[in-house]
Amino acid sequence: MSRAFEDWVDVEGLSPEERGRLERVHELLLAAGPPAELPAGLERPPAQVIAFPGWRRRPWAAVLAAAALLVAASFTAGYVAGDREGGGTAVVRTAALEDSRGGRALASLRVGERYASGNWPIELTVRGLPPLTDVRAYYLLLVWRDGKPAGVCGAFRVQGSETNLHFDVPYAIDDSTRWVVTRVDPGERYPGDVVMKTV
Amino acid sequence: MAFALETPRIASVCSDAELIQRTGAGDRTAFEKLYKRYARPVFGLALRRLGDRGRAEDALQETFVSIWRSARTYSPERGPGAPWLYGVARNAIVDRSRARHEPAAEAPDEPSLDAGPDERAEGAWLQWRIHRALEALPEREREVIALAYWSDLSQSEVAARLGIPLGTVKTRTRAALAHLAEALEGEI
Repeated sequence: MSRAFEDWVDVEGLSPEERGRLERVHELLLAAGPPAELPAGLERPPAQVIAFPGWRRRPWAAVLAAAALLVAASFTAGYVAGDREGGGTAVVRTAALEDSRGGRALASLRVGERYASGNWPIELTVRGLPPLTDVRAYYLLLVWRDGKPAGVCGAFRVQGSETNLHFDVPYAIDDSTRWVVTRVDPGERYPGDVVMKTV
Repeated sequence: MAFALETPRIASVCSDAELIQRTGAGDRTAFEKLYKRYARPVFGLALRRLGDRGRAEDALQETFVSIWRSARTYSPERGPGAPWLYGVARNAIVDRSRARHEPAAEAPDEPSLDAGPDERAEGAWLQWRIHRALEALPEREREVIALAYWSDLSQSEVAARLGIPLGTVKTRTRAALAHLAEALEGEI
């Protein structure tokens, strides 16, 4: 295959200056090579700030084999809210939470289709929350309505840079549902201090 | 899609700087637009530097977490958006490399018989800019460029593949090169 510029481009009427300019781009394209193809699942803009690489890459069979990840299995079919690619339960809602005090904490939350039992599976991935040194302290994920807690999704602690959590909750969840994470220190009253809130 | 986007529609041509600033203000639509523009250049850069698709995928996600998190610190007075995004991506890739206690596959300070660190850094930056510029081309021009340059097809074969005259292929190639030259102003 010819790499000569005039074999590739209609050069009629090009000034020498313009031809030189285009020829330089031609050479750059040849040198640059093709752009990388995005892997499936990363072609679309993220629906949440933190993606869920564990779900995305884990083969379906492996998910089924991992009893401890039964909740996660319900999500694997959908990367973006409402997807039903490949069968299984769809993700019906995603949300991002950020540090309510201007810090670096971030979280992504996904809600799966409601089970027949009436519970909704939630996966929460948290980054940047400080580990709690007091063993009696904990974080709470709460459904938040009208400036106050409307239901506890679960209590948790964090370790390392990222913590992945699963909860089943009975509350009705729709597009308007918002969540917060609070920190409850020993002696502090429920629901504790809000440290993260839905973006 | 259940996730409600409450932000206004963004005009089709928005500068990177504007999108970064909007992202810094919590505009998810702007963030998604940035992702569309830069996901492939970031992934390509990560793939070359890390040499592993899984780690490159992680680096891609890390990059956009960092962009979301730090966009509010971006100041257009200190420079355009593309170099800032490149810096964020490079840092995320280096962090991903360090996280595994392994050197990057293409560490910039390693000796090479082919090119020095400066040349390779410049090459990586140019490649980034070119791939970014490609994302902004009209679809029919991008399609011709991809087939003509990276599919080992002759221009006649490209014409046959697309079902258009050879002259149209060459005209579109010229138009695409002109658009790219405009986007790469200052680099060529």
